[in-house]
Amino acid sequence: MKVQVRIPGALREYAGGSTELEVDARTVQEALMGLVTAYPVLRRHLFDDRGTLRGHVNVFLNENDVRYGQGLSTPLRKDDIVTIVPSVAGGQTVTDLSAEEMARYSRHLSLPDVGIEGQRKLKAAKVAIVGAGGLGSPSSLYLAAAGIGRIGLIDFDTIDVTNLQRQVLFRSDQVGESKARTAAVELRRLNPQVEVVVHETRLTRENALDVLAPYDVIIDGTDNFPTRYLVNDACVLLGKPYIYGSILRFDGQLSVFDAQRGPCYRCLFREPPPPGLVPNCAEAGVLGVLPGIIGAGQALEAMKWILGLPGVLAGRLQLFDALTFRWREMTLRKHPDCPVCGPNPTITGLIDYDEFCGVKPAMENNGTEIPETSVEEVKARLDSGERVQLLDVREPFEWEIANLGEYGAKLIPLNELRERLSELDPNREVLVYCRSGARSQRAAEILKSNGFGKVTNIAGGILAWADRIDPSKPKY
Amino acid sequence: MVEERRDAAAGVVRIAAAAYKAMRERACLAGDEECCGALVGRPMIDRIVPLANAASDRRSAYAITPRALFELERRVEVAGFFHSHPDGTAEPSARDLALAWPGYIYVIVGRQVRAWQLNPDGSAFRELAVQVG
Repeated sequence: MKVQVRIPGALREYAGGSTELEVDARTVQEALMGLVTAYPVLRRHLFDDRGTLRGHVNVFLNENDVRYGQGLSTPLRKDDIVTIVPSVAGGQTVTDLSAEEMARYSRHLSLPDVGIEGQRKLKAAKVAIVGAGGLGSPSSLYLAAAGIGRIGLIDFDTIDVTNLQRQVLFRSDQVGESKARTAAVELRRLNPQVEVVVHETRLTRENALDVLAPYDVIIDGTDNFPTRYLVNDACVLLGKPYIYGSILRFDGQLSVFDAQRGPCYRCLFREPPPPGLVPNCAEAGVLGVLPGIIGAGQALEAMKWILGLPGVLAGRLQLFDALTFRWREMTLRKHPDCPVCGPNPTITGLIDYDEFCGVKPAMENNGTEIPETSVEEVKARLDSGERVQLLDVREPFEWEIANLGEYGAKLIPLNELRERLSELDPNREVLVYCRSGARSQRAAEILKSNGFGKVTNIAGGILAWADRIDPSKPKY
Repeated sequence: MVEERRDAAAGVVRIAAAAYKAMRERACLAGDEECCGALVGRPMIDRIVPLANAASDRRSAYAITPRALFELERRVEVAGFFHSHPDGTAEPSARDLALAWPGYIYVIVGRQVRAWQLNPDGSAFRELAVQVG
């Protein structure tokens, strides 16, 4: 009997693209056998190892499912049409809450806008926190407590004594230990039902997409511009919301950049400020409780986004002044020519963010190499009675903490240097230092480009001096 | 934008704006239940055909009856299917993988809308970039 077998779209690539095949068969079973004889790769999709038709394969004879007739042994007549119809099914992974979880989250469950469904969403959610520091401490603690399913902590640093003033995840006896791993232990103690993933690595253009891709929401707890642009661009490219927070002195900022719904960070700040213009927390200080307020705000926005609650801070930048305790709001709009989230993007992959933010010294001095010297060499030269110009380019408050005034060091803060060049002798060598060596590098470049003959950067700055020469100098 | 990056690594699925919007609306209307339907048109998905969810537990599963698909495939070219995940995830679940067919595109509507296709060996899904418009 000549009959037609119709092949579903799903399987046509295994049948040379054919939509149907004419076979000679007396029963439905024979018709299917005729098909797999013609196209052997089809066999494993239709039959299991024992030759039984797979459960999710349905067969229709003309208008009727053969399951409701005589099954595969249903006889065929001339010009019958046998159609293979796939079963299509699936569904979300069921995230059920245990009795223990019901008790733990009972204050959420009784909240109408969260409830069991909302708690399931939190459990199914995966949040990445870049930087386990001042902002990452409160946001990770609150998210772990709230029952987020998976929290990824991205931090390569170790705990420093100067962190303890605001990074409430850490204890005094943990100085020197890994931030990410210490934080993970703390979060698991807080809530063993949360899976905490440690990424003890620096986020870079090479790894950012891979590290962040498995997460639903990305929280930025870092305080430098290269990482901020890196995280923003990665979030835009991955289509994920970027929960932004920043803190300095008494001021905080908070927003949600979700390029699928509104502006991204680049729509607001196309380019970073010139290096050195905006100080970081190490240079300018930060009030200890401020990261608690902004970091908790980031956790709040992440939860609202996951729960689908209204009022997420997308397209709105909140500015917080701790001294007046006032919040101001700026409305943000998507920039029509945004280079990363606009309709004609020029940034279609991650770039070199150190270069983009101008923090690569080599870019700045056009190839002029600034020689470096070690604190040991400097000490030896000073001890030998050599008269060198020692220049400190930090802020006055830093000078108050520790300085090299006993060796005749002169303080000219970096941002005043250009105006006060006349206070230095361009014909004598200048040895420049700052806290750790970055600002002094920039100062040395400024001196070089203003006609100073010999300028040397003291590697490691006053911190290296305190570590290796004079432990009585306080570190900060 | 998102699309272009993935374009290099994997395939792309283009969905007409109206179809994209319709899927999101269906998912929204279904609330805490999953909704489902077929994607019609190749290479671009021009429209969707919503289909009844025949699963017994619609809060965490979807199923399209063979009858519904039989009728539909007689009339139109089915490129794949969409369904929603009320918990907001847009990645395929273990059940999605176990029951997936090669050749079809699977769009999952969670908080995001993401598209998936079975690997040639059927072991895993690969993501397709969604291009709207």
